[in-house]
Amino acid sequence: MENVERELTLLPAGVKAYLPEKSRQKRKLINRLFDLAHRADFSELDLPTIDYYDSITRGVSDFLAARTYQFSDGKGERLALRPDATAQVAKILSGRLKKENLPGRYCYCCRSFRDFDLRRGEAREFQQFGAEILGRDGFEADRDLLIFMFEMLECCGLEKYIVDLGHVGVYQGLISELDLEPRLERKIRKCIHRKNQTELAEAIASSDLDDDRKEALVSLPLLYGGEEVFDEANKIQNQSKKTDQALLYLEKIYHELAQAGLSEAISVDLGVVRDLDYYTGLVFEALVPGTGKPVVGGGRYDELYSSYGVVMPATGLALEVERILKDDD
Amino acid sequence: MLTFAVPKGRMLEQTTRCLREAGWSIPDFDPGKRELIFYDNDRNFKFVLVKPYDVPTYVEYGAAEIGVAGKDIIEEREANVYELLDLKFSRCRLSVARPEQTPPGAVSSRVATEFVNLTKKYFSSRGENVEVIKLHGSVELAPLLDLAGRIVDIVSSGRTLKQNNLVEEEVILKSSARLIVNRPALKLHQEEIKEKIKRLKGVLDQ
Repeated sequence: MENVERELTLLPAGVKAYLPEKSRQKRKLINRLFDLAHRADFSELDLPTIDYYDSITRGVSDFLAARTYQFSDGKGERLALRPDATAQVAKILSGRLKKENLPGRYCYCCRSFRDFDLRRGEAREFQQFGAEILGRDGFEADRDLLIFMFEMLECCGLEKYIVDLGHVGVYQGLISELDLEPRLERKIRKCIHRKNQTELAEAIASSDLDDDRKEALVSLPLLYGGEEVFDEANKIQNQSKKTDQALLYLEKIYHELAQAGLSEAISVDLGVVRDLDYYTGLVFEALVPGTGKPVVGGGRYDELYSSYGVVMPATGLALEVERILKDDD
Repeated sequence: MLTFAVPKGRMLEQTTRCLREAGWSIPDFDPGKRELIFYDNDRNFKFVLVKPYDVPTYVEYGAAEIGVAGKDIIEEREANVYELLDLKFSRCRLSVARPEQTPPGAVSSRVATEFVNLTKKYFSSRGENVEVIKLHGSVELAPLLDLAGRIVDIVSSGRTLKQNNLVEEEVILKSSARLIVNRPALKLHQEEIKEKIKRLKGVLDQ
Protein backbone atom coordinates (compact mmCIF):
# COMPACT_ATOMS: atom_id res chain seq x y z
CA MET A 1 0.00 0.00 0.00
CA GLU A 2 1.10 3.53 -0.68
CA ASN A 3 2.57 5.24 2.31
CA VAL A 4 0.54 8.43 2.48
CA GLU A 5 1.49 11.11 4.88
CA ARG A 6 -1.67 12.33 6.47
CA GLU A 7 -2.55 14.82 9.17
CA LEU A 8 -3.02 12.88 12.38
CA THR A 9 -6.33 14.58 13.17
CA LEU A 10 -7.96 13.68 9.87
CA LEU A 11 -10.98 11.32 9.71
CA PRO A 12 -11.86 9.24 6.65
CA ALA A 13 -14.39 10.87 4.31
CA GLY A 14 -18.02 10.07 5.06
CA VAL A 15 -17.70 9.73 8.83
CA LYS A 16 -18.16 12.37 11.47
CA ALA A 17 -17.15 13.16 15.02
CA TYR A 18 -19.42 15.26 17.21
CA LEU A 19 -17.88 17.58 19.77
CA PRO A 20 -19.62 18.16 23.12
CA GLU A 21 -22.17 20.77 22.08
CA LYS A 22 -23.37 18.86 19.00
CA SER A 23 -23.20 15.55 20.86
CA ARG A 24 -25.44 16.95 23.54
CA GLN A 25 -27.97 18.09 20.94
CA LYS A 26 -27.88 14.68 19.33
CA ARG A 27 -28.26 12.87 22.63
CA LYS A 28 -31.22 15.06 23.57
CA LEU A 29 -32.89 14.44 20.24
CA ILE A 30 -32.44 10.68 20.52
CA ASN A 31 -33.75 10.69 24.09
CA ARG A 32 -36.83 12.64 23.03
CA LEU A 33 -37.45 10.20 20.19
CA PHE A 34 -37.13 7.20 22.51
CA ASP A 35 -39.54 8.81 25.00
CA LEU A 36 -42.00 9.38 22.19
CA ALA A 37 -41.60 5.85 20.84
CA HIS A 38 -41.99 4.26 24.27
CA ARG A 39 -45.17 6.25 24.89
CA ALA A 40 -46.44 4.97 21.53
CA ASP A 41 -45.74 1.43 22.73
CA PHE A 42 -42.70 0.67 20.58
CA SER A 43 -40.22 -1.65 22.34
CA GLU A 44 -36.54 -0.96 21.95
CA LEU A 45 -34.15 -3.27 20.12
CA ASP A 46 -30.38 -3.07 20.55
CA LEU A 47 -28.76 -4.35 17.38
CA PRO A 48 -25.22 -5.63 16.83
CA THR A 49 -22.96 -3.71 14.46
CA ILE A 50 -21.30 -6.84 13.10
CA ASP A 51 -23.25 -9.61 11.43
CA TYR A 52 -22.70 -12.43 8.96
CA TYR A 53 -22.37 -11.08 5.46
CA ASP A 54 -24.39 -13.81 3.77
CA SER A 55 -27.44 -13.62 5.97
CA ILE A 56 -27.65 -9.87 6.42
CA THR A 57 -27.32 -9.11 2.72
CA ARG A 58 -30.04 -11.62 1.86
CA GLY A 59 -32.64 -8.98 2.70
CA VAL A 60 -31.12 -6.07 0.78
CA SER A 61 -30.80 -5.19 -2.90
CA ASP A 62 -27.76 -6.21 -4.94
CA PHE A 63 -26.87 -2.53 -5.10
CA LEU A 64 -26.63 -2.33 -1.33
CA ALA A 65 -24.98 -5.74 -0.93
CA ALA A 66 -22.21 -4.51 -3.23
CA ARG A 67 -21.70 -1.52 -0.93
CA THR A 68 -21.60 -3.47 2.30
CA TYR A 69 -18.30 -3.45 4.21
CA GLN A 70 -17.09 -7.00 4.64
CA PHE A 71 -14.15 -8.62 6.34
CA SER A 72 -13.08 -11.97 7.76
CA ASP A 73 -12.52 -12.98 11.33
CA GLY A 74 -9.61 -15.17 12.43
CA LYS A 75 -11.45 -18.32 11.36
CA GLY A 76 -12.22 -17.03 7.92
CA GLU A 77 -15.89 -16.31 8.62
CA ARG A 78 -17.20 -13.65 6.28
CA LEU A 79 -18.53 -10.78 8.37
CA ALA A 80 -20.18 -7.48 7.54
CA LEU A 81 -20.82 -4.10 9.10
CA ARG A 82 -24.60 -3.70 9.20
CA PRO A 83 -25.63 -1.98 5.95
CA ASP A 84 -29.31 -1.69 6.83
CA ALA A 85 -31.17 -1.92 10.12
CA THR A 86 -34.55 -3.04 8.76
CA ALA A 87 -32.99 -6.07 7.09
CA GLN A 88 -31.16 -6.93 10.28
CA VAL A 89 -34.31 -6.61 12.37
CA ALA A 90 -36.01 -8.99 9.93
CA LYS A 91 -33.13 -11.43 10.11
CA ILE A 92 -33.03 -11.42 13.90
CA LEU A 93 -36.75 -11.42 14.60
CA SER A 94 -37.86 -13.83 11.88
CA GLY A 95 -36.81 -16.83 13.96
CA ARG A 96 -37.85 -15.42 17.29
CA LEU A 97 -41.29 -13.84 16.90
CA LYS A 98 -44.07 -15.88 18.45
CA LYS A 99 -47.68 -15.58 17.40
CA GLU A 100 -48.74 -14.26 20.79
CA ASN A 101 -46.29 -11.36 20.44
CA LEU A 102 -47.83 -10.15 17.21
CA PRO A 103 -48.46 -7.56 16.08
CA GLY A 104 -45.11 -6.29 17.31
CA ARG A 105 -43.97 -2.70 17.54
CA TYR A 106 -40.23 -2.15 17.70
CA CYS A 107 -37.88 0.80 17.65
CA TYR A 108 -34.12 1.16 17.52
CA CYS A 109 -31.46 3.78 17.19
CA CYS A 110 -28.30 2.56 15.54
CA ARG A 111 -25.61 3.29 12.99
CA SER A 112 -25.39 1.59 9.63
CA PHE A 113 -22.47 1.54 7.22
CA ARG A 114 -22.35 1.78 3.46
CA ASP A 115 -19.43 2.17 1.10
CA PHE A 116 -21.08 5.00 -0.78
CA ASP A 117 -19.92 7.22 -3.57
CA LEU A 118 -18.40 10.02 -1.57
CA ARG A 119 -18.58 12.71 -4.21
CA ARG A 120 -22.10 13.50 -3.13
CA GLY A 121 -21.39 14.00 0.52
CA GLU A 122 -23.05 10.69 1.34
CA ALA A 123 -22.24 9.34 4.78
CA ARG A 124 -20.44 6.02 5.12
CA GLU A 125 -21.59 5.79 8.72
CA PHE A 126 -25.02 7.14 9.58
CA GLN A 127 -27.32 6.97 12.54
CA GLN A 128 -31.00 6.23 12.17
CA PHE A 129 -33.92 6.14 14.53
CA GLY A 130 -36.30 3.51 13.24
CA ALA A 131 -39.75 2.19 14.08
CA GLU A 132 -41.47 -0.87 12.68
CA ILE A 133 -44.87 -2.49 12.99
CA LEU A 134 -44.74 -6.23 12.31
CA GLY A 135 -47.48 -8.73 11.69
CA ARG A 136 -50.21 -6.35 10.62
CA ASP A 137 -50.98 -5.83 6.98
CA GLY A 138 -52.78 -3.03 5.31
CA PHE A 139 -54.27 0.24 6.16
CA GLU A 140 -54.36 0.52 9.93
CA ALA A 141 -50.71 -0.25 10.52
CA ASP A 142 -49.63 2.12 7.74
CA ARG A 143 -51.85 4.86 9.12
CA ASP A 144 -50.58 4.36 12.68
CA LEU A 145 -47.00 4.46 11.47
CA LEU A 146 -47.58 7.65 9.47
CA ILE A 147 -49.26 9.34 12.42
CA PHE A 148 -46.29 8.33 14.53
CA MET A 149 -43.96 9.83 11.93
CA PHE A 150 -45.70 13.19 12.19
CA GLU A 151 -45.19 13.04 15.95
CA MET A 152 -41.50 12.33 15.34
CA LEU A 153 -41.20 15.29 12.98
CA GLU A 154 -42.83 17.58 15.53
CA CYS A 155 -40.56 16.14 18.20
CA CYS A 156 -37.56 17.14 16.07
CA GLY A 157 -38.75 20.75 16.08
CA LEU A 158 -38.71 21.10 12.30
CA GLU A 159 -40.29 24.34 11.14
CA LYS A 160 -41.27 23.26 7.69
CA TYR A 161 -41.63 19.82 6.22
CA ILE A 162 -43.79 17.88 3.83
CA VAL A 163 -44.46 14.17 3.66
CA ASP A 164 -44.57 12.82 0.14
CA LEU A 165 -46.68 9.69 -0.33
CA GLY A 166 -46.36 7.15 -3.10
CA HIS A 167 -47.10 3.49 -3.82
CA VAL A 168 -44.76 1.16 -5.68
CA GLY A 169 -47.78 -0.69 -7.11
CA VAL A 170 -48.81 2.26 -9.29
CA TYR A 171 -45.84 1.92 -11.63
CA GLN A 172 -45.39 -1.83 -11.19
CA GLY A 173 -48.96 -2.45 -12.26
CA LEU A 174 -48.49 -0.45 -15.45
CA ILE A 175 -45.31 -2.24 -16.38
CA SER A 176 -45.54 -5.75 -14.97
CA GLU A 177 -47.28 -7.80 -17.67
CA LEU A 178 -45.59 -5.98 -20.52
CA ASP A 179 -42.44 -8.07 -20.77
CA LEU A 180 -40.37 -5.02 -21.70
CA GLU A 181 -36.76 -5.24 -22.69
CA PRO A 182 -34.79 -4.57 -19.46
CA ARG A 183 -32.85 -1.69 -21.01
CA LEU A 184 -36.06 0.07 -22.06
CA GLU A 185 -37.64 -0.53 -18.67
CA ARG A 186 -34.61 1.01 -16.95
CA LYS A 187 -34.82 4.02 -19.22
CA ILE A 188 -38.54 4.45 -18.51
CA ARG A 189 -37.92 4.21 -14.79
CA LYS A 190 -35.10 6.74 -14.93
CA CYS A 191 -37.24 9.22 -16.88
CA ILE A 192 -40.13 8.86 -14.44
CA HIS A 193 -37.78 9.22 -11.47
CA ARG A 194 -36.44 12.46 -12.93
CA LYS A 195 -39.86 13.64 -14.11
CA ASN A 196 -38.45 13.93 -17.60
CA GLN A 197 -41.61 13.72 -19.66
CA THR A 198 -40.01 14.63 -22.98
CA GLU A 199 -37.45 11.86 -22.97
CA LEU A 200 -39.95 9.39 -21.58
CA ALA A 201 -42.27 10.06 -24.52
CA GLU A 202 -39.35 9.64 -26.93
CA ALA A 203 -38.23 6.43 -25.30
CA ILE A 204 -41.58 4.68 -25.63
CA ALA A 205 -42.71 6.25 -28.90
CA SER A 206 -41.31 3.40 -30.99
CA SER A 207 -42.20 0.59 -28.56
CA ASP A 208 -45.18 -1.63 -29.25
CA LEU A 209 -47.11 -0.48 -26.18
CA ASP A 210 -50.70 0.44 -26.92
CA ASP A 211 -51.62 4.13 -26.90
CA ASP A 212 -53.46 4.05 -23.58
CA ARG A 213 -50.49 2.53 -21.85
CA LYS A 214 -48.13 5.04 -23.44
CA GLU A 215 -50.32 7.91 -22.32
CA ALA A 216 -50.50 6.45 -18.82
CA LEU A 217 -46.73 6.14 -18.52
CA VAL A 218 -46.05 9.58 -19.95
CA SER A 219 -48.51 11.17 -17.54
CA LEU A 220 -46.93 9.57 -14.44
CA PRO A 221 -44.12 12.12 -13.87
CA LEU A 222 -46.49 15.03 -13.51
CA LEU A 223 -49.11 13.30 -11.40
CA TYR A 224 -47.96 14.84 -8.15
CA GLY A 225 -49.42 17.41 -5.82
CA GLY A 226 -52.40 17.50 -3.51
CA GLU A 227 -55.81 15.87 -3.56
CA GLU A 228 -56.38 16.91 -7.20
CA VAL A 229 -53.92 14.22 -8.28
CA PHE A 230 -56.54 11.55 -7.67
CA ASP A 231 -58.91 13.29 -10.10
CA GLU A 232 -56.17 13.67 -12.69
CA ALA A 233 -55.26 9.99 -12.31
CA ASN A 234 -57.98 8.82 -14.70
CA LYS A 235 -55.34 8.54 -17.42
CA ILE A 236 -53.70 5.65 -15.62
CA GLN A 237 -56.82 3.89 -14.40
CA ASN A 238 -58.57 0.78 -15.71
CA GLN A 239 -55.41 -0.66 -17.21
CA SER A 240 -54.07 -2.78 -14.42
CA LYS A 241 -55.74 -4.12 -11.33
CA LYS A 242 -52.57 -3.59 -9.34
CA THR A 243 -52.35 0.08 -10.31
CA ASP A 244 -56.03 0.68 -9.55
CA GLN A 245 -55.69 -0.94 -6.15
CA ALA A 246 -52.59 1.06 -5.36
CA LEU A 247 -54.40 4.27 -6.30
CA LEU A 248 -57.38 3.44 -4.12
CA TYR A 249 -55.09 2.65 -1.25
CA LEU A 250 -53.15 5.89 -1.58
CA GLU A 251 -56.35 7.89 -1.76
CA LYS A 252 -57.64 6.25 1.40
CA ILE A 253 -54.40 7.02 3.26
CA TYR A 254 -54.42 10.57 1.91
CA HIS A 255 -57.96 11.22 3.11
CA GLU A 256 -57.29 9.70 6.48
CA LEU A 257 -54.34 12.03 7.00
CA ALA A 258 -56.24 15.02 5.63
CA GLN A 259 -59.02 14.30 8.07
CA ALA A 260 -56.47 14.29 10.86
CA GLY A 261 -55.74 17.90 9.87
CA LEU A 262 -52.51 17.13 8.04
CA SER A 263 -53.45 18.12 4.48
CA GLU A 264 -50.98 21.03 4.51
CA ALA A 265 -48.14 18.69 5.38
CA ILE A 266 -48.72 15.94 2.82
CA SER A 267 -48.39 15.56 -0.90
CA VAL A 268 -48.75 12.62 -3.20
CA ASP A 269 -46.60 11.53 -6.11
CA LEU A 270 -47.75 8.74 -8.43
CA GLY A 271 -44.42 8.84 -10.23
CA VAL A 272 -42.51 7.19 -7.40
CA VAL A 273 -40.34 4.39 -8.72
CA ARG A 274 -37.90 2.56 -6.57
CA ASP A 275 -35.65 -0.30 -7.41
CA LEU A 276 -33.01 -0.22 -4.73
CA ASP A 277 -35.07 -1.44 -1.85
CA TYR A 278 -37.53 -3.91 -0.47
CA TYR A 279 -40.71 -1.87 -0.50
CA THR A 280 -43.87 -3.55 -1.75
CA GLY A 281 -46.65 -1.04 -1.13
CA LEU A 282 -47.03 2.41 0.38
CA VAL A 283 -43.79 4.43 0.44
CA PHE A 284 -43.19 7.85 1.92
CA GLU A 285 -40.49 10.41 2.54
CA ALA A 286 -40.33 13.46 4.78
CA LEU A 287 -38.72 16.41 3.05
CA VAL A 288 -37.36 19.65 4.49
CA PRO A 289 -36.12 22.79 2.71
CA GLY A 290 -32.50 23.40 1.86
CA THR A 291 -31.44 19.83 1.30
CA GLY A 292 -31.52 17.26 -1.44
CA LYS A 293 -32.21 14.29 0.78
CA PRO A 294 -35.21 13.16 2.82
CA VAL A 295 -35.01 13.23 6.61
CA VAL A 296 -37.34 10.24 7.03
CA GLY A 297 -38.01 7.39 4.64
CA GLY A 298 -40.23 4.40 4.97
CA GLY A 299 -42.98 2.22 3.70
CA ARG A 300 -44.42 -1.26 3.59
CA TYR A 301 -42.21 -4.28 2.95
CA ASP A 302 -44.32 -7.40 3.05
CA GLU A 303 -41.78 -9.63 1.30
CA LEU A 304 -38.67 -8.87 3.34
CA TYR A 305 -39.31 -11.47 6.02
CA SER A 306 -39.77 -14.17 3.39
CA SER A 307 -36.04 -13.76 2.63
CA TYR A 308 -35.65 -15.22 6.11
CA GLY A 309 -38.28 -17.91 5.70
CA VAL A 310 -41.19 -16.27 7.48
CA VAL A 311 -44.43 -14.80 6.21
CA MET A 312 -44.75 -11.45 7.91
CA PRO A 313 -46.41 -8.27 6.71
CA ALA A 314 -44.39 -5.32 7.93
CA THR A 315 -44.24 -1.57 7.70
CA GLY A 316 -41.55 0.75 9.01
CA LEU A 317 -39.62 3.99 8.82
CA ALA A 318 -36.22 5.39 9.65
CA LEU A 319 -35.37 8.95 10.62
CA GLU A 320 -31.90 10.21 9.67
CA VAL A 321 -30.65 11.61 12.96
CA GLU A 322 -27.68 13.45 11.47
CA ARG A 323 -29.76 15.12 8.77
CA ILE A 324 -32.01 16.55 11.47
CA LEU A 325 -29.03 18.08 13.26
CA LYS A 326 -28.23 20.64 10.59
CA ASP A 327 -24.58 20.58 9.81
CA ASP A 328 -23.57 24.20 9.83
CA ASP A 329 -20.18 23.88 11.41
CA MET B 1 -38.37 33.45 -1.73
CA LEU B 2 -37.09 30.82 -4.14
CA THR B 3 -33.59 30.80 -5.58
CA PHE B 4 -32.98 30.27 -9.28
CA ALA B 5 -29.52 29.24 -10.49
CA VAL B 6 -28.84 30.85 -13.87
CA PRO B 7 -25.89 29.73 -16.00
CA LYS B 8 -23.36 32.43 -16.82
CA GLY B 9 -21.85 32.71 -20.25
CA ARG B 10 -23.27 31.40 -23.50
CA MET B 11 -26.60 30.21 -22.10
CA LEU B 12 -27.36 33.38 -20.14
CA GLU B 13 -29.06 35.36 -22.87
CA GLN B 14 -31.36 32.58 -24.02
CA THR B 15 -32.23 31.63 -20.45
CA THR B 16 -33.26 35.21 -19.73
CA ARG B 17 -35.31 35.44 -22.91
CA CYS B 18 -37.05 32.13 -22.26
CA LEU B 19 -37.96 33.04 -18.69
CA ARG B 20 -39.23 36.47 -19.73
CA GLU B 21 -41.45 34.97 -22.39
CA ALA B 22 -43.00 32.82 -19.69
CA GLY B 23 -43.90 35.94 -17.73
CA TRP B 24 -41.07 36.13 -15.25
CA SER B 25 -40.04 39.70 -14.51
CA ILE B 26 -36.33 39.10 -14.86
CA PRO B 27 -33.93 41.92 -14.04
CA ASP B 28 -31.15 42.81 -16.47
CA PHE B 29 -28.16 40.72 -15.60
CA ASP B 30 -25.11 42.76 -16.28
CA PRO B 31 -22.22 40.35 -16.63
CA GLY B 32 -19.88 43.36 -16.90
CA LYS B 33 -20.55 44.15 -13.27
CA ARG B 34 -19.35 41.75 -10.65
CA GLU B 35 -22.78 41.29 -9.10
CA LEU B 36 -23.93 37.68 -8.88
CA ILE B 37 -27.30 37.98 -7.15
CA PHE B 38 -30.39 39.66 -8.62
CA TYR B 39 -34.07 39.86 -7.66
CA ASP B 40 -37.20 39.94 -9.77
CA ASN B 41 -39.47 42.95 -9.45
CA ASP B 42 -41.92 41.18 -7.14
CA ARG B 43 -39.03 39.80 -5.11
CA ASN B 44 -40.52 36.30 -5.32
CA PHE B 45 -37.33 34.97 -6.83
CA LYS B 46 -33.66 35.46 -6.23
CA PHE B 47 -31.47 34.80 -9.26
CA VAL B 48 -27.87 33.73 -8.80
CA LEU B 49 -25.40 33.66 -11.67
CA VAL B 50 -23.20 30.59 -11.46
CA LYS B 51 -20.91 28.66 -13.78
CA PRO B 52 -22.95 26.34 -16.02
CA TYR B 53 -21.13 23.30 -14.68
CA ASP B 54 -22.17 24.19 -11.12
CA VAL B 55 -25.91 24.66 -11.70
CA PRO B 56 -26.82 21.00 -11.05
CA THR B 57 -24.76 21.06 -7.84
CA TYR B 58 -26.54 24.13 -6.44
CA VAL B 59 -29.90 22.58 -7.26
CA GLU B 60 -29.14 19.06 -6.04
CA TYR B 61 -27.98 20.33 -2.64
CA GLY B 62 -30.94 22.69 -2.35
CA ALA B 63 -28.86 25.89 -2.34
CA ALA B 64 -31.07 26.85 -5.29
CA GLU B 65 -34.56 25.43 -5.82
CA ILE B 66 -34.57 25.78 -9.61
CA GLY B 67 -31.97 26.15 -12.31
CA VAL B 68 -31.18 25.89 -16.00
CA ALA B 69 -28.50 23.40 -17.00
CA GLY B 70 -27.34 21.57 -20.09
CA LYS B 71 -28.31 17.91 -20.34
CA ASP B 72 -24.62 17.08 -20.94
CA ILE B 73 -23.68 18.60 -17.60
CA ILE B 74 -26.59 17.03 -15.72
CA GLU B 75 -25.52 13.60 -16.99
CA GLU B 76 -21.82 14.21 -16.41
CA ARG B 77 -22.54 15.25 -12.81
CA GLU B 78 -25.13 12.44 -12.38
CA ALA B 79 -27.17 15.03 -10.52
CA ASN B 80 -30.16 13.67 -8.65
CA VAL B 81 -32.64 16.40 -9.58
CA TYR B 82 -35.98 16.62 -11.36
CA GLU B 83 -35.49 17.43 -15.00
CA LEU B 84 -38.86 18.92 -15.73
CA LEU B 85 -38.61 20.68 -19.07
CA ASP B 86 -36.55 20.58 -22.22
CA LEU B 87 -36.07 24.28 -22.95
CA LYS B 88 -34.87 23.39 -26.45
CA PHE B 89 -32.08 25.96 -26.74
CA SER B 90 -28.32 25.39 -26.55
CA ARG B 91 -28.79 22.27 -28.61
CA CYS B 92 -25.62 20.31 -29.18
CA ARG B 93 -24.26 16.79 -29.00
CA LEU B 94 -21.47 15.09 -27.15
CA SER B 95 -19.46 13.14 -29.69
CA VAL B 96 -16.34 11.07 -30.17
CA ALA B 97 -14.04 12.52 -32.81
CA ARG B 98 -10.74 11.47 -34.34
CA PRO B 99 -8.25 12.96 -36.82
CA GLU B 100 -9.39 12.68 -40.44
CA GLN B 101 -6.28 10.91 -41.60
CA THR B 102 -6.35 8.13 -38.98
CA PRO B 103 -8.49 5.18 -39.97
CA PRO B 104 -11.03 4.08 -37.33
CA GLY B 105 -9.51 1.42 -35.12
CA ALA B 106 -5.97 2.69 -35.58
CA VAL B 107 -6.15 5.42 -32.97
CA SER B 108 -4.35 5.36 -29.65
CA SER B 109 -6.22 4.43 -26.51
CA ARG B 110 -5.88 7.92 -25.03
CA VAL B 111 -9.05 10.03 -25.10
CA ALA B 112 -9.07 13.70 -24.12
CA THR B 113 -12.26 15.31 -22.80
CA GLU B 114 -13.90 17.69 -20.37
CA PHE B 115 -16.56 15.03 -19.74
CA VAL B 116 -14.60 12.37 -17.89
CA ASN B 117 -17.54 10.44 -16.42
CA LEU B 118 -19.58 10.21 -19.61
CA THR B 119 -16.48 9.26 -21.58
CA LYS B 120 -15.52 6.48 -19.19
CA LYS B 121 -19.09 5.20 -19.13
CA TYR B 122 -19.36 5.23 -22.91
CA PHE B 123 -16.14 3.31 -23.55
CA SER B 124 -16.72 0.80 -20.77
CA SER B 125 -20.22 0.10 -22.12
CA ARG B 126 -18.47 -0.82 -25.37
CA GLY B 127 -15.92 -2.97 -23.58
CA GLU B 128 -13.10 -0.75 -24.71
CA ASN B 129 -10.21 0.13 -22.39
CA VAL B 130 -9.13 3.71 -22.78
CA GLU B 131 -7.07 6.18 -20.81
CA VAL B 132 -9.17 9.29 -20.23
CA ILE B 133 -7.33 12.60 -20.01
CA LYS B 134 -9.21 15.47 -18.43
CA LEU B 135 -8.83 18.84 -20.12
CA HIS B 136 -10.56 22.11 -19.31
CA GLY B 137 -11.31 23.44 -22.79
CA SER B 138 -9.86 23.53 -26.33
CA VAL B 139 -10.01 19.75 -26.33
CA GLU B 140 -9.63 19.70 -30.12
CA LEU B 141 -5.96 20.56 -29.66
CA ALA B 142 -5.19 17.22 -28.04
CA PRO B 143 -4.99 15.10 -31.23
CA LEU B 144 -2.97 17.78 -33.04
CA LEU B 145 -0.30 17.59 -30.36
CA ASP B 146 -0.52 13.80 -29.99
CA LEU B 147 -1.78 14.11 -26.45
CA ALA B 148 -4.68 11.83 -27.36
CA GLY B 149 -5.82 9.82 -30.34
CA ARG B 150 -9.44 10.75 -29.93
CA ILE B 151 -11.52 13.35 -28.15
CA VAL B 152 -14.99 13.43 -26.67
CA ASP B 153 -16.36 16.92 -26.98
CA ILE B 154 -19.40 19.10 -27.50
CA VAL B 155 -20.32 19.57 -31.15
CA SER B 156 -22.93 22.04 -32.33
CA SER B 157 -22.25 23.12 -35.92
CA GLY B 158 -19.23 20.88 -36.43
CA ARG B 159 -17.12 23.79 -37.61
CA THR B 160 -14.49 23.50 -34.88
CA LEU B 161 -13.95 19.86 -35.68
CA LYS B 162 -13.56 20.60 -39.35
CA GLN B 163 -11.10 23.43 -38.77
CA ASN B 164 -8.94 21.02 -36.83
CA ASN B 165 -9.25 18.17 -39.35
CA LEU B 166 -11.29 16.02 -37.02
CA VAL B 167 -14.22 13.79 -37.99
CA GLU B 168 -17.19 12.93 -35.80
CA GLU B 169 -17.15 9.21 -35.11
CA GLU B 170 -20.18 8.69 -32.94
CA VAL B 171 -22.74 10.67 -30.93
CA ILE B 172 -22.78 9.75 -27.24
CA LEU B 173 -25.52 12.10 -26.10
CA LYS B 174 -27.84 14.75 -27.46
CA SER B 175 -28.05 17.78 -25.27
CA SER B 176 -30.10 20.93 -24.78
CA ALA B 177 -30.93 23.27 -21.90
CA ARG B 178 -33.17 21.78 -19.22
CA LEU B 179 -35.16 23.25 -16.36
CA ILE B 180 -34.10 21.39 -13.25
CA VAL B 181 -35.68 21.43 -9.80
CA ASN B 182 -34.44 20.33 -6.40
CA ARG B 183 -36.34 17.19 -5.36
CA PRO B 184 -37.72 18.32 -1.98
CA ALA B 185 -38.39 21.85 -3.30
CA LEU B 186 -40.79 20.60 -5.96
CA LYS B 187 -43.00 19.22 -3.20
CA LEU B 188 -42.39 21.97 -0.65
CA HIS B 189 -43.19 24.84 -3.03
CA GLN B 190 -45.71 23.11 -5.22
CA GLU B 191 -47.91 26.02 -6.14
CA GLU B 192 -45.17 28.50 -7.06
CA ILE B 193 -43.22 25.99 -9.10
CA LYS B 194 -46.16 24.26 -10.77
CA GLU B 195 -47.54 27.55 -11.99
CA LYS B 196 -44.20 28.65 -13.47
CA ILE B 197 -43.67 25.32 -15.17
CA LYS B 198 -47.10 25.44 -16.72
CA ARG B 199 -46.41 28.84 -18.23
CA LEU B 200 -42.98 27.83 -19.47
CA LYS B 201 -44.46 24.71 -21.01
CA GLY B 202 -47.07 26.83 -22.73
CA VAL B 203 -44.37 28.97 -24.30
CA LEU B 204 -42.33 25.96 -25.38
CA ASP B 205 -45.27 24.16 -26.97
CA GLN B 206 -46.09 27.15 -29.19
